[in-house]
Amino acid sequence: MKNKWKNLKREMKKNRQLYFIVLPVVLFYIIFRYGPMYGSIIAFMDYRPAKGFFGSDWVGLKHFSKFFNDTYFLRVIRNTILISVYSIVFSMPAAIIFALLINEIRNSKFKKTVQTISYLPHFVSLVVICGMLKEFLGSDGIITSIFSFLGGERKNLLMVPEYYKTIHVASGIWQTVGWNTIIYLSAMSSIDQEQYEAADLDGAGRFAKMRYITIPCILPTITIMFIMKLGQVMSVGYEKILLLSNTANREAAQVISSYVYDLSLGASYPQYSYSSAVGLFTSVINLLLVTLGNKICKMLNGSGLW
Amino acid sequence: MKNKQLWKSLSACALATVLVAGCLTGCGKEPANNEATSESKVASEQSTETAQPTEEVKEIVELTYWSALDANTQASLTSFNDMEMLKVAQEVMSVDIDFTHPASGTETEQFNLKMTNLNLEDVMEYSWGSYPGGASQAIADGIIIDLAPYIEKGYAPNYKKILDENPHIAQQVTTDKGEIWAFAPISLNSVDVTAGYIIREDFLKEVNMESPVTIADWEAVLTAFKEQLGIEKPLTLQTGGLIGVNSYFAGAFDTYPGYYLRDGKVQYGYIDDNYKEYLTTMAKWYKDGLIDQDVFGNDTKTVSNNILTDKSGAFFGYIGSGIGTIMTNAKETNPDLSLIGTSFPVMKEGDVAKYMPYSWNVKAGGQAAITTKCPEEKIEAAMAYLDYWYSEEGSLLKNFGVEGLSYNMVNGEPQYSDEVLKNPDGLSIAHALGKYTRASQATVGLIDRRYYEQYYQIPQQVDAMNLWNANTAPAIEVKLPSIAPSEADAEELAGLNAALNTYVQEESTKFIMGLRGLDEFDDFVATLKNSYNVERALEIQQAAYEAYISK
Repeated sequence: MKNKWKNLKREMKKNRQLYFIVLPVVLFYIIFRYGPMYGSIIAFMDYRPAKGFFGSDWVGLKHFSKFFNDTYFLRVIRNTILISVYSIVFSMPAAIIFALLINEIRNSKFKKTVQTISYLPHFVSLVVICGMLKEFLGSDGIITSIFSFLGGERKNLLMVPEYYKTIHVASGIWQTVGWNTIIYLSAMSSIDQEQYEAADLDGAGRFAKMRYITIPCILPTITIMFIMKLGQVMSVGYEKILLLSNTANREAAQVISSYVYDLSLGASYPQYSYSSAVGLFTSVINLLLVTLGNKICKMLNGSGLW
Repeated sequence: MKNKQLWKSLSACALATVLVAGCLTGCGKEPANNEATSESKVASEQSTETAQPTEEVKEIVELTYWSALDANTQASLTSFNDMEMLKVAQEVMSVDIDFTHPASGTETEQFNLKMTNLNLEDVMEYSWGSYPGGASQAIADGIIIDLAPYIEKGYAPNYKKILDENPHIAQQVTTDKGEIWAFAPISLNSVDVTAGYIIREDFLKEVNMESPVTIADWEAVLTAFKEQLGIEKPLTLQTGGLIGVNSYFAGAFDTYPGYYLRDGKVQYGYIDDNYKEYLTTMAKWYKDGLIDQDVFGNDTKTVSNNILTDKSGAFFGYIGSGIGTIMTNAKETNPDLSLIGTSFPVMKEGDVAKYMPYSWNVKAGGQAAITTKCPEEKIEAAMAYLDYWYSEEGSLLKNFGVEGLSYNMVNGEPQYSDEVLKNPDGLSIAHALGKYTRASQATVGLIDRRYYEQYYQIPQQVDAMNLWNANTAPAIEVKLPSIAPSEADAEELAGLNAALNTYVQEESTKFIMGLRGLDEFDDFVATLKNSYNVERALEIQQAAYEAYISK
């Protein structure tokens, strides 16, 4: 043990420039990522700002049991998980397929154009996107018109709870698919070209090359992206929900984070402790999912996040 | 060669300087404030000795001030620090105020965050009545100070005069313990109803009908709009206008979706039998296409657009942003468009409407309180500054701005100048008022009726104002004052209300859209009583109400 410590000291002295460079990042994580975790203790208190962290009363797991008995507990959990699962199931393959397609384009000018255009929605503010969606999905909006032309009923699509998750996930895919291809494209660009040449000699066509070379080579990247997504299953962002939900579709739209927002920041009587308890609960589940996902991926194809 | 090196090192120096300067400006405020504290200490020591307003040149007291920045002000200014009339007031009162604003739309959020880190300004404008546990709890928690002793000392003579002369106003800014928590926006003989149902007068003429009064009239008019004129969505509203705070059609059925008063008892309208009647009618209107089918997805913008583009004939809106803005916008594209206010709906001809968007003499928002962060020696100056807005001179400044710039005296009456009414930079009247005055904002000071009379430039606006304010007395019978349950109760109530609101809104939506039959209304009420504990919520409200009226 002592030896190790000594080794570390020598190592730090030797590479002090490198350690100096990494210092700001380490500090950033300590101050802005680990420091605030201390605030999670208010989940076990009846926190009153005026009394502060140290003066508030400890109440144990009161807020957690309150959440499990909450009328809306099952509903927000179900909505959160469903929206997450749909996003993973549809948006990951969409990005991968799109990346494969872009990768096959030989004309570099055309390729660049396609890429740039597909990145653009990523930079549009979510408020603007949701404003457009509301317009398009109204009873006389363009999407509704197409929908009713194809045989659907003409009504405000945002007022139908059954459609909410589709709208949420589909618009999400439209907005992020281009941006999400970046990481896959970079993985593809690092594939050894000799493999393709060898395959050409063997008479492999484009699909065969895609299937037997490209996809296996980017599989580690896909695995990492998948595990990272698992870590966010319980945390669907509240911004889009706040912008798109209404009393008619809320039963399908309310997720954990929007519920926490309503209870804490949006309310005139903020329930700090309760919403912290809910937040802490989701973080723990997320952590469990990442660990579990990592284990399973390692077992299945031998590569994981750590 | 040498030159090049010199150049390099010079530019490096320059860069470093810029960086350091950047850091310094970021935190440059602090030292300045500290200096001011010691200065003002001297000043206030002098003045407390004499205990009389001194004639000698006062030293400038620096104060920090937190306030929402009004949307109309945002159109031309980024901060109240740049508003002319506020500069004048500061000069008169020998204070130097540094304003801080939360980003618009995030006021509650920012305030809640402020309460967690207690990074307070000297003076803060907020709806203090909605502080958890009420304003009295904010004082007990050491957030704001009790102004009563300072008012007794004579630090705020103008405000004291108003409170002494109007006990019902004093009641609305005094806690059960007799503490006074803020300098509140007060309207004396002013306009207390600025919103209501607005209808297209030109459509009425086309179908040859009178402005509707009863529910039956409304149904006839909306049907005529639909059938004779082909109006797609005759009545356009937002969610709140049908099953929430602005649902005054329910008033015709003698109920209100939310808490209200009947014979001194707090009621929750959603469990009334009358509410079932109301829902039945609304569901029918919705089914018949009289109500906008998108109603639950609408926002203010869609409602205005529906009116502007002849898709709708009636809506719930404000005299300013409803009648005024829409008619102004329609001037070129749709010159025939004329909007008039209608009286609040009743059941039978001759009934008196009780339910209307009446706002109390003391406005809930924008109440300026002095926080505990304000040093003792600055309190007198802060009080004097806030009190100034209740003087004749200050009131004129608040409502009309600086003389010669935004108003002129005509026959002894202030009259907005062309700078406001026909702004050369093309600002609308509301935006120009937001640039030069705080007339339209809930903030410390008096709200002047003359502001409304001049702001409403279109005859239809004045008519609506007179119609809606003709008989507001019945509203006081049913409107719940801003009551504050005790801290423990407030937390419980917040929890109950959060769940209740979600449930009643979602179910009411289903009832109106016809997704749930009204024969299930009794189940709905039973669920509210059994699973959502609505009776406990009413009990808390009733106790708080009784504490309010007994003070």
